[in-house]
Amino acid sequence: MTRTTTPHINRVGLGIGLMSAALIAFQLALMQLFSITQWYHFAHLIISLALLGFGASGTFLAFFRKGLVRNFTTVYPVLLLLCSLTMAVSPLVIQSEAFRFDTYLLFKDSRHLLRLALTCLFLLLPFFLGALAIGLSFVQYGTGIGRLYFANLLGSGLGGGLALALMWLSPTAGIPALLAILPFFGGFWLPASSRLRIVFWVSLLVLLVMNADVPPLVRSEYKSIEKTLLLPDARVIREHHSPYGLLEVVVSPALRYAPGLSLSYRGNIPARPGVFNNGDGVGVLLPRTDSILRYTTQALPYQIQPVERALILRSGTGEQISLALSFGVQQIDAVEPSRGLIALLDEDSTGNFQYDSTIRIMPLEPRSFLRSSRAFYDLIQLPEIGSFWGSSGLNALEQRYDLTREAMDELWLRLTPDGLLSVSCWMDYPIRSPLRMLATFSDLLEGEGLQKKDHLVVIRSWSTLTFVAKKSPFTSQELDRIRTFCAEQYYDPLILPGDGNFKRDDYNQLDDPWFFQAVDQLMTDSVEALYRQYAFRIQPATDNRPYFFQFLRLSGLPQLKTLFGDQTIPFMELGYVVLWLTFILLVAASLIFILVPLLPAATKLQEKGKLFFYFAGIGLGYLFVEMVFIQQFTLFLGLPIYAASGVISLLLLSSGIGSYFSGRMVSTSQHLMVISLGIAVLILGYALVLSPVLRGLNFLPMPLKVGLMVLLVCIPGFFMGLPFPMGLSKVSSQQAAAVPWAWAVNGCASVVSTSLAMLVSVEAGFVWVMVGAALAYALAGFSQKS
Amino acid sequence: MALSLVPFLWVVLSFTIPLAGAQPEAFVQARKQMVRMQIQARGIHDQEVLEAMRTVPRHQFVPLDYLAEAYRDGPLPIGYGQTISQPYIVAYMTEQVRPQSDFKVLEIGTGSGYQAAVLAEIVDSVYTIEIVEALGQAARQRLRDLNYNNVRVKIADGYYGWAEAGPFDAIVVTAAANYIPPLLIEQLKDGGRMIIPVGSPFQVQMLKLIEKKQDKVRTKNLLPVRFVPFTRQDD
Repeated sequence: MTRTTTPHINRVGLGIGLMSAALIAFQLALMQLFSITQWYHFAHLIISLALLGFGASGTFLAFFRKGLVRNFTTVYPVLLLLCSLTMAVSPLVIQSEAFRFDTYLLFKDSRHLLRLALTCLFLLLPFFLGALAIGLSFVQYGTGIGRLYFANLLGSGLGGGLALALMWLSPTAGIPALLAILPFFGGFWLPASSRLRIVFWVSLLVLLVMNADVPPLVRSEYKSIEKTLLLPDARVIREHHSPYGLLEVVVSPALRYAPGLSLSYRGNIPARPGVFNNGDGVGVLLPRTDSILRYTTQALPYQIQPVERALILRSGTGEQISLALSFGVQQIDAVEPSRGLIALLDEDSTGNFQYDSTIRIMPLEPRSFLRSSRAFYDLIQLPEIGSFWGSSGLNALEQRYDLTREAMDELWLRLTPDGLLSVSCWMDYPIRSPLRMLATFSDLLEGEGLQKKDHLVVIRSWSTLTFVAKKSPFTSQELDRIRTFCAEQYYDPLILPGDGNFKRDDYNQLDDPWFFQAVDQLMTDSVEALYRQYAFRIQPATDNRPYFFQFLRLSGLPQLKTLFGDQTIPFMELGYVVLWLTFILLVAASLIFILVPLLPAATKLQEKGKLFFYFAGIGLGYLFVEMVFIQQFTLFLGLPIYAASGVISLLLLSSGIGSYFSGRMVSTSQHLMVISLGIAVLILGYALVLSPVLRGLNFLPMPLKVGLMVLLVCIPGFFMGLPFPMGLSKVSSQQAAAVPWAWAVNGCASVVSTSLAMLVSVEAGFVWVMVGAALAYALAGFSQKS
Repeated sequence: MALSLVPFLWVVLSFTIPLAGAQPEAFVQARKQMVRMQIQARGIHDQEVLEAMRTVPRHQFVPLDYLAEAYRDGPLPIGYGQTISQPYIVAYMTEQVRPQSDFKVLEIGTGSGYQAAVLAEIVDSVYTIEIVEALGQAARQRLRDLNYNNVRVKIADGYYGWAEAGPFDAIVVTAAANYIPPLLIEQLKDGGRMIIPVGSPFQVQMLKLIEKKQDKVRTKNLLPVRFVPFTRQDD
């Protein structure tokens, strides 16, 4: 075996940069993969797994540091190679029979829990191996940590953009194998023994095979698309992958859609192509002026008064556009954030739905459009609440800024003097969505200083409700038309202005009249009592807590357990339960894999408490800030995917630059304290002004918005890049044995931080996540006080 | 025998007992217990329904993987994203259509065939439609093997109902839909009752009763049901 020399730091840095880019992109690809095969909740799990891999590598390094350093020239490229190979084969492995789990069966079949655990363990490998290579290089090139850390953050920053680009270009299952090429060449580039060189060449063959033969995605049999594909002659006629997800159009002669169709309807329900994003149903493609929706409660606003100009938010597959056209609306503005869906409609797969001068469609989040628009509408139609396709509470953590209390205020401003604001909602059991929607309308009208009972109409069918709020009071002719509509279609009025002389359950009887009492309570001033008593959280969603579909509250759990039993609760809000589950598992995993193994050695360290609070504080604080920035800039830019990847990339890049500069600074306790406290103050300042500034500047054109985002993210990002390398440098110079402990504590805090930040935002709101970030940095700063 | 030992025995026995053959005492006992604890205790009193639930061998309608759980108080996966309903729900739905011995009942969504078998124990004839071919074929064979000669299985789109056999005294829809097919309402006799679950299959669903009287159609919420077992407050 020929002896190889230690590679130059620049070569190692290049490898680290390439691998870091691949690891971040791999994370995003896995999130997308799980969104398609299961549901998007595993995003937090993937982020945490990645961080767990980093943390665990620190612990491993602590135990085997000497041996690894001694054999650096062999170990380092091998780690890159193994990282590459595990990444490349991951879609194949985690979709194999032994590993493949099903979200719904996790609570039913313990084998699926085991498979989930196996999947997690396997996916931990690329992150662990990659992080081990990074950590090892830090140890090997002690004085050059700043440069290597810069390469790490620069690569990570670019990885986000790389993932987005690949999502446009390649099927999701093929992305890991493509990414695996990066760490492979990071290792291949280094000097190696002839035996190792052969291993690299063989591995290259494996990579080529993995890239040539992309495994198909195996989805949960409970996904809407899988059930739809069981219908006779069902087939996918169109498929389009992008960062927005995998968009598919399915046709079958048995695929029909008539949500909450009136029981008086006696006609035919024609088959329509169904549209699915990541396997979840998002709607159907209707002909230009389809009449079927005229026989649903959604047609209510058009019965009330003629509509000339309508705004349709989240127009999706164009169902509401079709309904509006069937009522002869002259001008329709539609807002839909998914460019994939817009392109789909524009291409007109049904052959009869073309955009023209009547329809103007904007590829934006509804709130971004509202804040920049000056137009007024006779009707604003909000997207349908809930879904027939059923997600079993899986969208509990979906941030919906178009359904918040603040959104309602902005919508109200865009109505003509007699304008209508309408939304339809599926009845859920136990009843939650309709009550929250009513609470939101009630609060809006109260805020506007209007008599609620004069401005709101709600009707109910066997499965849906439609709410219509009118800016001016309803007239008696309008009320007559509503009554006629209800009688013809077998609907019952729930709220109707006037003397209250109407029957609420003539056609559709409820099992429990409690719902009517709750509705009455929401229409009076005793809402607070209802909010307190009801087991679910039904207060209006706000920009601070934009989770419209999150209803479970911890204090209501005993009541729900009595009513439904503890096995039912997970299915009411699976997304929320999965978040808690993830959090608890990750706390346990990070303790087991990272912290506990180091405890015996840590007891011998000096100032271990100081170290703990410093590295835990900056670990928690950093990711908390990242979470809030993603939330704020999603609202600002109106493009969630680009906002998220932009924030992550900019934060990493600016922190990378910060870390690069950290090498020029002296790392004393006082410096660490001043910098950490300075960051805490900066974050508090952001908590106070960021939201109003972004709201005030929402009118800016997109290039300026992006410029502002770069500025606002990079300033704190730069400073937040200082504490970690400076802290590590100080520890390294004072007690080298404490480096793994510091690394592990930081990793541990990072692992739990994403889920914890999410929990804080759900339970208390994003403002508290920001306050939490400031407190974490303050804690880190004060820990350095002598 | 302690109930905890029963599942183990079922797994062992299931490989040795022919489908329509004699049933081991364990199954019979488990079924009796199921009726007593899960169904009668929750307020189902129709003697014919109870007898039907005591008679139909539920364990022969569940996949082998879940054999040990066949008589547990919950639904079970049967593949293709479908489930066999919780025993109580099957009993409840059966009771709600008020089955008579001369009834002709239509079922939409055969699934495993269990609901059809329970109905067939009481009524004159059951017409059941399954859209997933593999499920329909398996159910047809299973029902034939168990000698349910008054059940006819059709593999088709339930949207159209079974016009040649209609009108029906009752219609049981076992799968939630975003609409109630107009043709099913047409095929329901005047005064007939249709029962249908509404909502996501994994959420708490609402069982709805649809009554047709003099061409007017009215609905009534009956009972929230869900994927996994729970005890109602009034139990």
